[in-house]
Amino acid sequence: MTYIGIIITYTLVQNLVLVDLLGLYSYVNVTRRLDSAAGLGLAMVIVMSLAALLTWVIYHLVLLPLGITFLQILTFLLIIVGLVQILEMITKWSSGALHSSLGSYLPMLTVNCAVLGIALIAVNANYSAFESLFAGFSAGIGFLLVTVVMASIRERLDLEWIPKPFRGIPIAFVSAGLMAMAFLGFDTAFLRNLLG
Amino acid sequence: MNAVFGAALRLLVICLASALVIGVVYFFLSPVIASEGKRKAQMHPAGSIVIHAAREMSAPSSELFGGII
Amino acid sequence: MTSRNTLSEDLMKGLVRENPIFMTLLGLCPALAVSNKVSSALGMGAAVAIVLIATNFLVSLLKDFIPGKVRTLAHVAIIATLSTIVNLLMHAYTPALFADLGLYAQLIAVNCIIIDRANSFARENSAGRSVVDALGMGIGFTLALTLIALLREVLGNGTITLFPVAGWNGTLIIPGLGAAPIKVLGMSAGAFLVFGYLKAMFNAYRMRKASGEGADIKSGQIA
Repeated sequence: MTYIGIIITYTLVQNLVLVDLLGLYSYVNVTRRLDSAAGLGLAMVIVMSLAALLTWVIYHLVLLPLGITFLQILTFLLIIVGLVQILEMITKWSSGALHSSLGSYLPMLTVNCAVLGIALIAVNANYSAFESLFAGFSAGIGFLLVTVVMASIRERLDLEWIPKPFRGIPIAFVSAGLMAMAFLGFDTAFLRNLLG
Repeated sequence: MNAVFGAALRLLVICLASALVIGVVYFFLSPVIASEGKRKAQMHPAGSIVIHAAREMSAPSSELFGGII
Repeated sequence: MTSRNTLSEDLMKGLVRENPIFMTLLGLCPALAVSNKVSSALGMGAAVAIVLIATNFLVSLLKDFIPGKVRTLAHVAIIATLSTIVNLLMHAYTPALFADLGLYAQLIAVNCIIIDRANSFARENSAGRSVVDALGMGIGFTLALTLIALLREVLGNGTITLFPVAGWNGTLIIPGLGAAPIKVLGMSAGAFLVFGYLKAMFNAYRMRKASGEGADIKSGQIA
């Protein structure tokens, strides 16, 4: 049941992009077309799940016992960057198709706020190992959801007449704001009533 | 091979130096930090309601495997 | 590439022409979230500026020591270290600001401006120039973020939160607006909206300036 709670939280209630405002750089730059958005989203799912798990391992098995939790940011970031570079090598060696669909988005994830964000959130909330993995996975799914919806919106917007200053980034942000407002429906009052 | 080894070594030096510097700064600042009280990042209020409710619904199973699952 | 600008050009370009938030869109990631209060924006801007200047300085000094293949890892290690140090300093000496920034203080380490400037400028320029570049970018970032925060807080909350000083709690309440604020601007949706509109105004201003100088802008597409 906890896992259902986790997936609902990180995909809908506390969507990392729309509520925590993380991962914005890749969000606005790679959502012009649906296929690139889907590729980025899938890459995020994989990276975030693995990153959340690996950072849990390092935090609970190395940093906490040794009392050096102040090295958190340094170790987490090194793990994440290393992880992304290894994944990139794997996709390059395995198949060209996999690389062009997933691998080409990996460099953008090396210094991505959302990946470090979910790692820090999971550590602060004291999740167990599987819960962290699942939280990373859910956050990635939430990211995938939002990028796919955003790409669909932007593909349609590109066909409309938009005032010149708004074309491109500004209208994308306004659309994202409207999406965020829609997701505000999952707020504290609603959930309290729902869950008692 | 030598180049890769050299690069890895330099990287290790940088990482160890970084960890050392952070440790030193932390050592000097920890008295000041401790006196202010711990303030951790707060979880999003709506999100924590969902997680809390979900945990309550599933209490027994989390004793398995020493809390790993 | 090595900078061909004069020193003052390197400083000023971070303010408008290559403003990180509005032009290159780099500083958004962890910064937009703290733009709901003016004091948080100023604090975040200052912290990012400090980390940016220190990073550019160090990367520029170490540019011959850092091997090319593991460049990203080395840069990340340096940035993470400096960010952790700034975090510890904030936790110790400005705990209220640190609590306001919450999760995002730790995310300064992945602020896209810092890694971009380290990679594209500090790697190939002298230490002095790198510091100047970082200073310009830091000031530009702070100004832009504070502008967003001003709009979001004044219209969304009817207040301007500055730093408490000598008994005053630091909050200016705007008469009239405090009674019926546009609450959504204080939430994440508002951050998106305010940024979108500001960027559109920025684009419009640049288009008008470009057409005034006789430049060719047939399509009107800026970014």
